Amino acid sequence: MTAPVELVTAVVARPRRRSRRSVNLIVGVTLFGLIAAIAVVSLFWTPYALQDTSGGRLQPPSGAHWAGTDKLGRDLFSQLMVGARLAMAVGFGSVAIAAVIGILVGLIAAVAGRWVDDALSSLLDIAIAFPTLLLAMLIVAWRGAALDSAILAIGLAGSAVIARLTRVTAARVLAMDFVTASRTSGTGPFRLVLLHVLPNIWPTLIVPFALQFGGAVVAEASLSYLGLGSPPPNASWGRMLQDAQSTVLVAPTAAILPGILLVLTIVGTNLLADGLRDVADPASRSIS
Amino acid sequence: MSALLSVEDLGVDVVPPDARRLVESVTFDVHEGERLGVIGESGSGKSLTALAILGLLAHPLRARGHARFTVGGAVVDAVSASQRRLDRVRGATVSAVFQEPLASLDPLMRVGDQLAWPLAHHRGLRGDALRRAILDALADVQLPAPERIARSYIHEISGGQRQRVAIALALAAGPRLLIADEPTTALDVTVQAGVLELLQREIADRGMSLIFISHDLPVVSAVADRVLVMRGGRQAELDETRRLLRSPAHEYTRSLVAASRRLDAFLEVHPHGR
Amino acid sequence: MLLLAFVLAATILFVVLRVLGNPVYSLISVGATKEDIAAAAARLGVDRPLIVQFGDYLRQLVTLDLGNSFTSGLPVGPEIVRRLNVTLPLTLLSFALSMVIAIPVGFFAAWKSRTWYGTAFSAVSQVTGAIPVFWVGIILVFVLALGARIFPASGFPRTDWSDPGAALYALTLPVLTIAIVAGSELARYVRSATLDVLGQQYMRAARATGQSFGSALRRHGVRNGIVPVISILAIQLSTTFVGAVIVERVFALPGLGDMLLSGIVEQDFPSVQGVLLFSTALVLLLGFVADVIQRILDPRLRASLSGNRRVRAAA
Repeated sequence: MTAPVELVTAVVARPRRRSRRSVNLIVGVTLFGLIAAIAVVSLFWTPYALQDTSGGRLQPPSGAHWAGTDKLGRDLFSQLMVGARLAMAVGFGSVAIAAVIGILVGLIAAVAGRWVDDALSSLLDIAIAFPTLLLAMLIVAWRGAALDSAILAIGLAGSAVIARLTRVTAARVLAMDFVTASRTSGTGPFRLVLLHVLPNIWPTLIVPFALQFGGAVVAEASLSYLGLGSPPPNASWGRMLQDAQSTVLVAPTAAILPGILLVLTIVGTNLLADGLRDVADPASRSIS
Repeated sequence: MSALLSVEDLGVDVVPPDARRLVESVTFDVHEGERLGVIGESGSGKSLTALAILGLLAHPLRARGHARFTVGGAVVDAVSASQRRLDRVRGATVSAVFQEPLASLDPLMRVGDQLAWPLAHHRGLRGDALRRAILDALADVQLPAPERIARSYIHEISGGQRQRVAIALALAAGPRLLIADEPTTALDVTVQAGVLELLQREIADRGMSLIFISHDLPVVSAVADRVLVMRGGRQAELDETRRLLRSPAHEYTRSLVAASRRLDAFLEVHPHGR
Repeated sequence: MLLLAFVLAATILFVVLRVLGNPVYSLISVGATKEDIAAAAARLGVDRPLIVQFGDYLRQLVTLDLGNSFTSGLPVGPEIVRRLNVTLPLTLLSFALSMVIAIPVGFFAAWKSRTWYGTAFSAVSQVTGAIPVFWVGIILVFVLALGARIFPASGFPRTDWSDPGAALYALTLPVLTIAIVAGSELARYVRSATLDVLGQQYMRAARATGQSFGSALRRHGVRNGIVPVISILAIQLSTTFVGAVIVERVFALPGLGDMLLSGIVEQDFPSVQGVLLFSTALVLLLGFVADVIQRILDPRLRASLSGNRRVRAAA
């Protein structure tokens, strides 16, 4: 007999779920796709070359320069497009690093003995509590400001959350009957992990990956704004905002557009994450 | 003599834009001292009906029809009355025990403290008198070592003990009607009988009325004078227990009775299972 | 436990900054001879064996001696304290404001979650929480400082806190900036916790004994809802601290963030190390305090140390 609360949620959620699910996911995919598309296009074509300073300084948007120019005369629209490419690179790169390191550590913690597991868990708790940006600044202080430093730092910082989730999910899968059955028929630990654990933890990890993507874009933008990101002419929306801040009264577009694109990207990835969660686990929908 | 509780054409809807009807046209009376069983499968609307009578339906659910309590000449309709009015009816006139005591009791509060509120509020007790009343209430539901239980948190006591605490909580204000929604379903089989017995004894001792909700026909028929059968949100049949069991009118009731008969037949041939 | 974590973090910092990075290069210039490099190394003490260096490092930490800045030559410790004058009020005020915004908004969004304005609220907070904090700062400066000229666009009064009015005036926009972003995130957590509590059966059971909605909420709902929010608050405080670091750049405030950033740019390792050590200690301490508070509030967590983690994961 389902308790009334569940009954209510289930009953009300059922007809709504179809429309709710698509809203989050659809908007998320649209926004994300838009930014990704811009990024891809920028690989082949931008209105002007990034180094082209012929445009005249701080021009407002016009037919020639759709978003205007920056204080060195470079076309802003081109920079925005390349910025999208950078955001995508940072997002995918750092999630990849977080995934590899996180899953590895999480799996070790899940299969290892009590001691190792407890030690790793304490480490992870601390790592998760530690602010990403500070860690990133540390790594940048060590290696100097560059794109790969940023991606490495953000990826490392994000791996802790992935590791913790992997550990919990993997442990749960390992405790399931079909794994025990497989183990009794002689499957070795490596094959066990590859065949059974990984495919089953995959869906749970997709949502945190999506969330990390958004977090990585913010983190990189913050780093670039602070001057710790990849140096020019590599265009980062964060750095563009830093440039534009001093001249915001004269050329407000330069200070507004990169920010809007940042927000769209981040909201897009967050909605995508929510949408994926709705699809994967409808029961959690009532809360988010 | 008018009934303690008079339910007339009670329904539960989901508010627009969904506007679905989850429960429809439920009608029955409960008089003083009467015991009514409500039986049906999951999703038949039994619990929603109970919540509607208690006036505890949460948005987006809404009650329709009437559920009138008559106490001392005053009539309160749970469907239309204000929450403030119902706050006075709940606890004092009608109270409830729910299925899962681990969820129905506050996990962060000691048992004694949880009992304190209804005793203080409805019986006006304070200080030492309150403390004694708490211990008495716990002893009344046959909990051993009431002082220890009163100091405990709910996760420190067993499931059966928790449900006894829930019963004590429901009875604290001395209601005339108790609604028990699957009170033993979540308990271990060995513990169920004890809690059921406690429930029946308390009801009998206090001359209370009882609405006993369950999906288990044998249990319901042992406890109730009359049985209301629900199916798909509607009332299938309402009759005296014995007559219902012997000659059920509705086909659903017939299948229910047949199912439990089969179990009895099985047990007759195999008294110890296999 | 806390101490262990801190030592571990300090060790990591040592490894990264002293071993992997090379502090010597910040002291020498292009065209330095071998003797120059050796002299610089000797000055820093990096020519000694690592173990000795590490021992020195730990000894210095215990005595709270964070060394002297490479750029200014002044001791790092007192400098940190001086800068806290700006960063600490900034952090605490932002934290307080974010709670003032988030708790009512989150509660309201949960209470009215099935109405259109409830959903609108949570949608809006989703967006405002996704905005990078420095951009909020830039926009606020644009609108309120440069446009409407209500607040200063940057800077902190030279008179420091001897003129509290001027100091607060300078901090208004920065605090608002951080509070908007941090508050949105907190609001979502509060909403989630409230929704959770409102749907709980102990609320219904309490009302069945005759308690009013308000009474049940106060007696049962609040404490149950607070527990998960407490650990979030600790993270919030860390987040506002990091936000302060960034926002100091936006508003040219002479706080810890400024010290850190200058240190990184100028390769002033003692400063960088000092600020990072301080931040680490702060974050770890906050986490520890949150843990303790949670354990006080929730008897289920007191069972065991590792049981705590498992219960927390499930709770």
